[in-house]
Amino acid sequence: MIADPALLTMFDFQVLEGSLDNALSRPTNVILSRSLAQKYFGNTPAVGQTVFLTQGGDETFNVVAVVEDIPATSHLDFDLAVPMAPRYFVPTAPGRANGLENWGSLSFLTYIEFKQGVNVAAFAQQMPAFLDRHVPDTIREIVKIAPSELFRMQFIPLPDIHLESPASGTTRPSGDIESIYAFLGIAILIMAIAIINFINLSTAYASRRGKEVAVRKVVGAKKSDLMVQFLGEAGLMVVLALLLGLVLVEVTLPWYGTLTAKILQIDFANDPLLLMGLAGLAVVVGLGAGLYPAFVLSHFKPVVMLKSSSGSVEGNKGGLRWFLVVVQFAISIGLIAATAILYAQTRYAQTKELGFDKENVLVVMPNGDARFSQTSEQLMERLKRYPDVIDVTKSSAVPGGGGQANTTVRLSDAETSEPIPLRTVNVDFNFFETLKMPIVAGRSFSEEYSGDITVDFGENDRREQSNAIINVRAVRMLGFASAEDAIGKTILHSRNPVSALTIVGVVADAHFQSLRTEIDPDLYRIDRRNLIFPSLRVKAGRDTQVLAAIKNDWKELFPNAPLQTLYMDEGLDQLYAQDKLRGMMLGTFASLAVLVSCLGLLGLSSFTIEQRTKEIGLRKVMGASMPNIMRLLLWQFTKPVLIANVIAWPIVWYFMGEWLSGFAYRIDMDLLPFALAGVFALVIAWFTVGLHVLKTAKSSPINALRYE
Amino acid sequence: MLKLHNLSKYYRTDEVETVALDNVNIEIESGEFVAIMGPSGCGKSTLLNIVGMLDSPSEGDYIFMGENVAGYPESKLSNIRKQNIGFIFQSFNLIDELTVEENIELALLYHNIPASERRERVAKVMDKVGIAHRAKHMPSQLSGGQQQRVAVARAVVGDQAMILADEPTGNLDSAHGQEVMEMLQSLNAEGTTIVMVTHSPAHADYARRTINLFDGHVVTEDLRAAV
Repeated sequence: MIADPALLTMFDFQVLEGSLDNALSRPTNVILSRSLAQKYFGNTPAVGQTVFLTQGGDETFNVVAVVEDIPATSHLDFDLAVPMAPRYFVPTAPGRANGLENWGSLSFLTYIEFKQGVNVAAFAQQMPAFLDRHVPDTIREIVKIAPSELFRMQFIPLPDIHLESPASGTTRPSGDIESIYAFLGIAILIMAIAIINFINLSTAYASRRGKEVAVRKVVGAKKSDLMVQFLGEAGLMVVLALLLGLVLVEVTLPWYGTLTAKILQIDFANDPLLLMGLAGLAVVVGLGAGLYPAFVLSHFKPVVMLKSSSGSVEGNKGGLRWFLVVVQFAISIGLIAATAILYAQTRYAQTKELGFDKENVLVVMPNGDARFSQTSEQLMERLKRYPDVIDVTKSSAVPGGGGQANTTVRLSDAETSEPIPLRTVNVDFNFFETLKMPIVAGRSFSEEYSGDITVDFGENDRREQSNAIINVRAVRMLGFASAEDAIGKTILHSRNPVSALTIVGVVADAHFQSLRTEIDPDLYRIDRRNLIFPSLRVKAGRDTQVLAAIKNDWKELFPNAPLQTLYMDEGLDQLYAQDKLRGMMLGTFASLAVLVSCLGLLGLSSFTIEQRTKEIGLRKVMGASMPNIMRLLLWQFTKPVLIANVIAWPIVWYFMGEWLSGFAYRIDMDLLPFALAGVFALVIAWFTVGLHVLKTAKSSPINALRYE
Repeated sequence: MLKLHNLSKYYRTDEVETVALDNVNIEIESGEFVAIMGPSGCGKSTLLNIVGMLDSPSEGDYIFMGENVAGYPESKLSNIRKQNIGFIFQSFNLIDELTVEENIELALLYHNIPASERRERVAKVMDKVGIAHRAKHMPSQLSGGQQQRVAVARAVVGDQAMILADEPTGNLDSAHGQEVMEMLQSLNAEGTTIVMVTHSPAHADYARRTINLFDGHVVTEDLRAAV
């Protein structure tokens, strides 16, 4: 972490060694975390020792303090802190501002501690004017709009930073409040299924307890006494379930943490809010599950109960019960269908034609060293000689690997000409060949044309001139009639009108980013000043050999820096890691919902079939065959599942449609995932009740009819 | 109509073997009205179940309309049963969720008879037992006598040649009991064979022959002149 000295006074750190006083005021000071100090110096004191950092120029730093590791629940995380200095923010090109002064590169978290009682909203309202006052005129000249329209300051209270921070900026992977709400909702749905089971089964089997209720009433129990008894029983069960649930949470939390790539901790002892929440949950679930059965049971009439030989009541034929079964299955079917759609979209993203060949491309990641761009030239020369390497190139950005930059261009230097935003990718020769991106008009870059290389006229001359290649999307954005029409045309950099670009080729559109976003209009140039990503196409199946060879060369060229490489296809897969994770979790939840629903159905089916024993016996005497009976019983359990489909489909259609609309490139939603979910639920339901049904259908009718 | 030859039935649990019927020989002619009497546990119901093909004998032969059905599997028995035999039970055994009409129709449901014909036959038989005005009622809305009339209608709607009645009057008061007996008698007069288990000597008197069972044996057979 590169930090301002004020950080140490604004936040509390637990100092284990040394002192934080002025710890970040000398440029060669460094603060270590306990675990890093432990790693490098073991149990000997770290303060007074030195460490060697390659970033920002190899240099020796003095350890001045060791602090306790930052808790996993904090958004701020560092193992090593050094004072902020311009050398960490080297200019991307000669003559450009360094990162600390460059208004095009805003990558800091700035903390503001307000005095007590300051109205932050009012403060935030002053920020546009503040920007307009302080942003230098040079920026204004380039962008030609007010700074307040270009930049926006956003204030986030620290407690909210985990869940509501923008995608980047925090130092730990941030949570995403929408996912949390979605999964909370699903958890509630699953709990609803379980509560439904409890209500269904306890009222269904209430008949078994009819005699007990009657006897208790005869000896003087009031309705309220019985209510208390039955609610107490439900409550006890909920408390036991809660304890079991907490044990499960403790056991599965680390696994869940790896799954979600988050560090999870629950501190039961010191979190009164959590404990109160759990107690509240127990009460709500206990009442939700216990109230209705307690009410039904306590209202049994003793005379009826005692007279009836089986101690059961007929009465309500279970309309509510079947309604609840429908609800359960609607939830299950909905979750299955949602999972299927999510899976289909993720799969679509991974198999879609991207406009380039992502397989067998290896990217060497920059190591943060300022000289990387130059030294990597030597690496490139060596890579070209490997027999297993087909093509080698370098670029300022790679698909799935970041390095995005944007610029605006104009078609002429007339004031009326609108600036058109384009994404710029600086490349070397061989880029389109290495990634197998088809040229649709004109030509690719080639060393035969001297004009292909961006000519830099020196430090103080802002002229630049070169040939450029644009993609099909850019052809449209720039208003050319066709790709062929664009060839030979000249465009101007809007921030530097003396720099002219001649379009020599048009390349096919390619998805460099997630399918969530539209393809950018791209501008490719050969500009060797900023090519930080060497990438190479290797022969299929030879990647391990190439990797081993790179490792050797790397060690010679960069003895102090670790080698980081990225397979392009894996880098692209990473774009969908969140979606995959969601799919996995949704799948797990859907399975859980199905399982719990089936448990309920199993209990209910044995009950209802038992209730229909006499009828089934009679039908058999009348000549009904085994298939007749099976059809009759299965239909009873098929109906609620079919109705559940009717309820679940439109709801899932709506929500998954919303989710899919977040993708610029997406699958068309069709009925297949819905039909699959419906059929799956039906088959599962049949399997669940099948054993009972089969047993009943096969049984001899005498038993059913003999005892009245 | 049917002939039981040296027929026995044992029930076996893990340790005890109970003999329910021991070497029974009975012959029943077409068009007969036979009463079976005897104390509780003498094997009356077992006998009726076997005759009704709801149960199979352990030993011996059961010749039904010239066919020895003793070793037949359930599916085959079910077919013969639904073609030829109607049942009347002591507790009526109507299905609570179905109307009177639907309860009667149940006996035709598994016979591949078109719905229109089923309705016709049900209407006819409801007239015959005097329950037509209750066609749309549920069994729970009827008196015991009315319920048993529905059961009788159900037993005869399929034109079965034989009716097995297991204590058909056991749950009825004497007036309703007599009503049902008269109904059975008139069915018998039209040619239906009737085999009835009963505790009531008065109701046994409606039959032309009474078979007395005791401990699984046929003790006596009394022949009576038609009443």
